[in-house]
Amino acid sequence: MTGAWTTFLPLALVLSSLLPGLIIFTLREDQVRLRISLNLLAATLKLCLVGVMLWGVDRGLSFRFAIDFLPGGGLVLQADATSLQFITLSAVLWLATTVYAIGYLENSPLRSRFFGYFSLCVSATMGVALAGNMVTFLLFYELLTLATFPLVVHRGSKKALHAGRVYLAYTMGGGALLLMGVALLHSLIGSPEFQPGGYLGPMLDAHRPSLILAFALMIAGLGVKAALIPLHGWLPQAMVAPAPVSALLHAVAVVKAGAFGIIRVVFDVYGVEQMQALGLATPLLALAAATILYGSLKALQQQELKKRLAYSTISQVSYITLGVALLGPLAAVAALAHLVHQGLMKVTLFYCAGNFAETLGIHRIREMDGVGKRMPVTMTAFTLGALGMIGVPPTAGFITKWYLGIGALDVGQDWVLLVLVASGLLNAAYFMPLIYRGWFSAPPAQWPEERNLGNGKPGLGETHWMLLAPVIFTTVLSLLVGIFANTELSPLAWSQLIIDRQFDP
Amino acid sequence: MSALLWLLIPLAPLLAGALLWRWPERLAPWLWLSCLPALLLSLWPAPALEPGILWPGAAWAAEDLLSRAWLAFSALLWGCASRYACTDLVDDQHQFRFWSCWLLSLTGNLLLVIAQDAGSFYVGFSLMSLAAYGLIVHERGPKPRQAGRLYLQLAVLGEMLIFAGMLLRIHESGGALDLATWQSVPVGTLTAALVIMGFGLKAGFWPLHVWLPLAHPAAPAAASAVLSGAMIKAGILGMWRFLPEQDPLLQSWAMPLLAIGTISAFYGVALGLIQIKAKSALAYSSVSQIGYLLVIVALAWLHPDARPAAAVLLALYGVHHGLAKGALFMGAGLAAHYRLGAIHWLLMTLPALALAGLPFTSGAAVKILLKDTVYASDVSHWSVLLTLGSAATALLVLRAIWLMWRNQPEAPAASPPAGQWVPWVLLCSMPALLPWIWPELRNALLASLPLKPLWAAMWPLLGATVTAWAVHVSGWQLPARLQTLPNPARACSLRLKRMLQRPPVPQAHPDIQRHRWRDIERRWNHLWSGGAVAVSAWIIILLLLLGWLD
Repeated sequence: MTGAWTTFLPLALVLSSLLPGLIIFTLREDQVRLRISLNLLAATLKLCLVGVMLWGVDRGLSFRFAIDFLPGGGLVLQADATSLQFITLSAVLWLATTVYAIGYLENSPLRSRFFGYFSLCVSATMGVALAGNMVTFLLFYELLTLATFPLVVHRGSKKALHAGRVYLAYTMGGGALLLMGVALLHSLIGSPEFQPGGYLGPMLDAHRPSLILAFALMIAGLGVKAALIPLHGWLPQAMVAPAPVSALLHAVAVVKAGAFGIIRVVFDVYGVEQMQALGLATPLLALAAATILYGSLKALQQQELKKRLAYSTISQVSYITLGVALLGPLAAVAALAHLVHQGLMKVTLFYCAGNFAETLGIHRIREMDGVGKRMPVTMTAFTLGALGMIGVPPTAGFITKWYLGIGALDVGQDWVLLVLVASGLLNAAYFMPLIYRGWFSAPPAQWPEERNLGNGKPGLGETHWMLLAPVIFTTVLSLLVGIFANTELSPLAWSQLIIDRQFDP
Repeated sequence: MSALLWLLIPLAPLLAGALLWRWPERLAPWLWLSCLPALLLSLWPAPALEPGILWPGAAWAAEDLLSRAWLAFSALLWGCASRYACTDLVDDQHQFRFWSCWLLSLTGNLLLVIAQDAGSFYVGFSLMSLAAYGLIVHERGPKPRQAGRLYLQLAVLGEMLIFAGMLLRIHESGGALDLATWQSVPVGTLTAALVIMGFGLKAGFWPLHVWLPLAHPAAPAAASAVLSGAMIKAGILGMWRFLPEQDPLLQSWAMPLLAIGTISAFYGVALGLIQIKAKSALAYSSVSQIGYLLVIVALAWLHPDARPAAAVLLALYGVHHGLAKGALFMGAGLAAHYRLGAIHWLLMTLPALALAGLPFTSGAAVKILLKDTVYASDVSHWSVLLTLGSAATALLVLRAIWLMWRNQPEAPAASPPAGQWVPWVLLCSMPALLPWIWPELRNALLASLPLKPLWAAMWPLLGATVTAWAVHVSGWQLPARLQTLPNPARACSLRLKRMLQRPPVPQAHPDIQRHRWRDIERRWNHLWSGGAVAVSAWIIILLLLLGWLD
């Protein structure tokens, strides 16, 4: 009997948001209460399932669901430690974002469509995380593209449609490249399941050029979603989407799927030794370092709050790629931990940006003057998120930079320290003015477009409670994972576990 | 006693901050109590605490004399300043913001003193540095804003330098984080340079002092007191803790550092004398005094076997300067708001002249110890500079007091409220009282009591007093040209800010680009119209073939 439930749990995890999503499509616009309860029920159920799975993996149970799909590579959903890191992040943030989205979209049209695709998007993310081999990964990766497109264009404005077209062009192109890479690899060895240390070892000498080509194709395909330069163009444009979508896009779903894919390809398909033998790490490292600096420089130029955050994402997500490409145990721990850390901090920042926009109509950085007086709770959250991005201790971002720096020194790539310092300075240069404006500038006589959410008083009633609660929740989480980084429960400890398996199989 | 008591030190101010949110008015007069755990633990230290759930190797304790002394004086100074600030800010509309920054800085400052590992030290240091920005810009206007901007720019730069230095140091010591281990691990050139520059930016000795004379006078009096008294010492403590005690590299760098410290000591006085505001003169006096602390650190590196003595001297000097400077800044705040009586001015001269080495005060005690240390070192012929330094310091503090006296308000003489004068009097009396309650300081004071050292300590002071009196009587005015010296640091800071606001790279025009891309897209679609699927299939087949042939 144990065999049965461990087999179906991964499938249940994907279905737990797929089915509610499909049901929501059939609902009428005015069935608000049913839709909300369905959404929240699904999100809570998923969180419970993830909890069970965490408990199980910790106990050494294996969760695996497989059916035949292609010759040489079945459809495999499997929960290992790496996928659980991503799944837990997605499940937690999905719940928070669902609450946020309900508050955000209150009384706006087309909510059934929105929440339907929203759920599909999360189930695709679950699939990406649980994929046990490259074929399954590819399948869900493409599904994710399709599920997010309607969210990006949700507002239907000209700008949104344009952003949607750019998004589609980039991601479909990336998907095609990934497809080629996976197909090439599949033709060489089939698509066995991911395994720590990679499965390409035996054929390294015979197929050197093909393996390099496949790697380049796959990284190019994944790099579109992970927003590596020069494939990042879609991300700043996609910020026209509603705030919960941006939050999800930047923190969990799309960008992270790309970064997660890179982690999978480097660690579980190629493996550290083969990466070193093929000399693939250095170009990836250089690309990641360049992206970090370029993203920060571009962020500095932006005068729109969400655009600045978007460029900051480009820079921050590349920390993950950087940590992976360093191929050292500590740097890899940093990369995996940053998957969670960046998610928590960035989601907080986007929630805050959404709160400012919804409550007071603040879209541009210039308009942030004195917002701390009117919305102190949101501004505190924003400050903590921004300080985390800069890497000020004891926030989550500091832990990442710390491990990344020591990891880089351990593998002898001292120059990475320079990248980290430069990125820290640039991050400070584009986040500090926002903090200054929020807390120390005098507020305007009239806010751009004040709306009557909450009770209008500074404090817990400064905006709609459904917009505020997720902000507080993610801020507290991102502080906790930083302060208590050394406990058993922290993402850092879990990353350590994953990496121990990778480097000492 | 339980080790868990150490948790109280950072948690008490944070908890106070949380409660303050709820009862802002009622709680503020009692905020000074949040320094009490630190003061008590410095007197009766608990066994070391290892909060392993924070980060590997975290350890909090105050076992040696240096940590205990610095913890005690930091707690005392912050406590007095907290009580003083509460009365000072009673009508301020940004009180909550001020107290948030204040308590965060306080937490950071206490944490870095009890930190026995690099992680805790860095956490405390950053918390203190960044939160202090809120104290500097608290008062509105262009001056605090400019000062705060320069401060923040250099503080962030310092943070990053220290961050890089710290990571290199962790790497050098094979992953160890505890500062005790670092004391015996050799240091690389780059690491040492990064650490000294990073901490130097906080300590504020010449030539890294540029932010200090702007920032310290801009803040409210209580904040200036803790900035000058406690916070800048974190830079010196950081250098002392992060760098090894015995290292050929540091030994070879000791001479240049001694020179920098000496230049700083006299440069601070020279620039301080031409200030026209008392708080600016006091801030330059801090630049000068931190030079002496740097000299002590450099002497310890030059003669590693004399390090224990240097540690004692560093502890005594830090306590002495911290309390005296705190008292002077608070006094300057009082003199700016109330017309003080003769007794107040007499009290004010006590910490002022103690800084210059007045006999029977902590000043004379630390000066004689410093003189002995210099005599015993390779640079014994520099000791004449110490005497000169005493005279210079005396001139500077007398000028500062004269400036306070000249600029006091025209109101009838009135005593400041008890909430302000009680903590101030407590700090003012410390230079005279402390030698009798602290054995280490008492021994040093006793050594300064025989007639010869007494005279040696006395005549620079007398000379300075006579000079000051002569200048006062002659009614000599500072030349106008000296009053408005250019400030390149402030100008650079402004230029940097402007550059960051309008980055040099122009924004690309999206319209043009969009048309271009759309054209290319159209042409591309046209090219493949009809055959897209077939071509894609061919590409995939080609790739599959390539893999098969390979």
